[in-house]
Amino acid sequence: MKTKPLYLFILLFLFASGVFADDALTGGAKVGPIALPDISLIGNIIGDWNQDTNRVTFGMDELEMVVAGYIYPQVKADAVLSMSQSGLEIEEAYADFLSLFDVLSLKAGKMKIEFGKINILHSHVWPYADTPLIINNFLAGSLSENGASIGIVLPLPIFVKSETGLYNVEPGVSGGTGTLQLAQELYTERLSASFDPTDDSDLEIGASGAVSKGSDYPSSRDDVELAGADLTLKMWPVNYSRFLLQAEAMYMKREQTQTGGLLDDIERWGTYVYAGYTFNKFVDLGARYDWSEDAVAQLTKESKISAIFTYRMSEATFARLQYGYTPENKSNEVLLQFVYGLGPHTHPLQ
Amino acid sequence: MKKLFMLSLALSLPFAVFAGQINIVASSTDIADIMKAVAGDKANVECLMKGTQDPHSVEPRPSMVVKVRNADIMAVVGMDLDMWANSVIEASRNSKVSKGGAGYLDMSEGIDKLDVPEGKIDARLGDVHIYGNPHYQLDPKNGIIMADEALKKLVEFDPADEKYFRANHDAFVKKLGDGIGRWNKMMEPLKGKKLAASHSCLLYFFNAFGIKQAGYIESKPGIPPSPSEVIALEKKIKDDGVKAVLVDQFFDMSEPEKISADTGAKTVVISTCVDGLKGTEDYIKLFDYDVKTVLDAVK
Repeated sequence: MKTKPLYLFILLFLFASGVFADDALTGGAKVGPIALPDISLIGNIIGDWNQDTNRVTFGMDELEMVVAGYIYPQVKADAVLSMSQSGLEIEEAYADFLSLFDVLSLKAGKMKIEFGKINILHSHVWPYADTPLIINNFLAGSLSENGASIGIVLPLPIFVKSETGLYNVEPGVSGGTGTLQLAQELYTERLSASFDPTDDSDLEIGASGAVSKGSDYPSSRDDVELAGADLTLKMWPVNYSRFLLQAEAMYMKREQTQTGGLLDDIERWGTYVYAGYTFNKFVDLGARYDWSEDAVAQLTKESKISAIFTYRMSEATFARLQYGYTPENKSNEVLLQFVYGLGPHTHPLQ
Repeated sequence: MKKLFMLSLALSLPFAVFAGQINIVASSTDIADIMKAVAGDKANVECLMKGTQDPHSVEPRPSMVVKVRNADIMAVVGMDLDMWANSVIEASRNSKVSKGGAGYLDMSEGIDKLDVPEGKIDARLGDVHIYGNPHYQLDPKNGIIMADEALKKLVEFDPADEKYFRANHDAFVKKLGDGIGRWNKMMEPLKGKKLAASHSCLLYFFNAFGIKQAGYIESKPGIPPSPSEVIALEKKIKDDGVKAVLVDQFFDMSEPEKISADTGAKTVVISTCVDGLKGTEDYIKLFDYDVKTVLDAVK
């Protein structure tokens, strides 16, 4: 990726924003209407001690700059630039047609793909500091590609949404050993339904499917099918308190051509379950169990148990302490995370 | 085929029940109550949050999207208090109730706003609302302005029923006006007196009845007070002879109770919105309850 033009773009943008924002803020809200997009910065600082490597790392894991606004009635543009030690990346940049023919929505550009429950969310809003194993193994840490997706909320008494996407995959840009790397076109479908079992609870069930090629294509056949199922239960027993149960399972089938033309099917599974309780405005406690096979020919299985404590200073700023244990290696890990937000924040439907 | 027909009928039933009525969705219980009062039986009014929820931090839910998708009018508090409602409106794909649409109603439009910040605003000041203090519903005179806004929007939407809506509006305003006279008379002894409060959300309430604020437990909105801030407030309460600390129904009671114990000022929980506490089931009852509770505390 050519980063120099992007740096220049960001500098120019920040300079322009600073000039206008300063004018706007000098007069507070009394200056009248201001035609600026929403600009925000989200910093994600992570410290990590891992017994396996016996190393301590600490620093800015990712800095996101989000620019968002309306470009036309019912049409939004969003851009998320991500800066990390691996460089600068356009994580998302898309136009979002919120209401086509009053029933459909269309997103076009580079975006996080609606596959499973949490891939679409940015990692700093997850209730844990690391990435669940199945997201690493089957979605290379985060599936964000160029393409288009069309969504519809069905006219039913409960919330039922279908999102169908077609994307061009940029091969081998993320993920590590044992992760699935996609290539060529990716077709996805996610169907989710949500209803309130009681006034103070909310249950969402989702199913996802994807078809693409693996990274060995086109030098050999490498057909990939992915399927996912997810469940999210939220309960609000009293004000500011929330119980969250979230589980996802993913299945991958990969048909690869071996030398001599024989087909070798790889089938892999993985899952995680998270349960957490928000005690008040400030304190969350949670635990997650992960189990996943890897996504390549050499089969390995891994599991992880995590305990998570979060202290929220404000809606956009929090500190988190997380302990993880991997039984296979009998290894411990401690993560310390500090996330801060500058600028306008949203309350997304999650 | 018969089964398919029955299924279609069952699925469409919830929409058919309110056929002919205006579907109104309100983000807060106060707005929902005022919309009900003005729209009468010409509308089906639903509310996205409960009175027991803090309006700053409501979590958007898919079931809210279903309500907003079928709405003809979406009435919001505005002033960035109920920003969470924006993501619900967006997800609903209902263009007529999104900002700029014919069915979008921002109730803060005609309000004389208090605490509008000037100069540079940032997180050092806490969770400051850039358009001013958005808890305007706690001045009952603003209830009249909200009813006016409701009437204007309903007449725009359904001019044929203007007479009906106007009669409802006038009856509500008369009842509220009587209440304002009654509450002002009852609160007369507190005029010019100082009371403390949990949070600046009670600013409009203080302003409405001429009460001076001795200080807030959360001196910076949304930020827990430091020990030195608590000590300073306790000193002010003692020095000024403040008799009560008013606490909104969402506030954690540990700090107010400590301040009460240290200073002798009574802690009083009042409701900041309709249905926030038992006995506050509508906008008039909200003030009946709050006024009586405050007066009982300072007797």
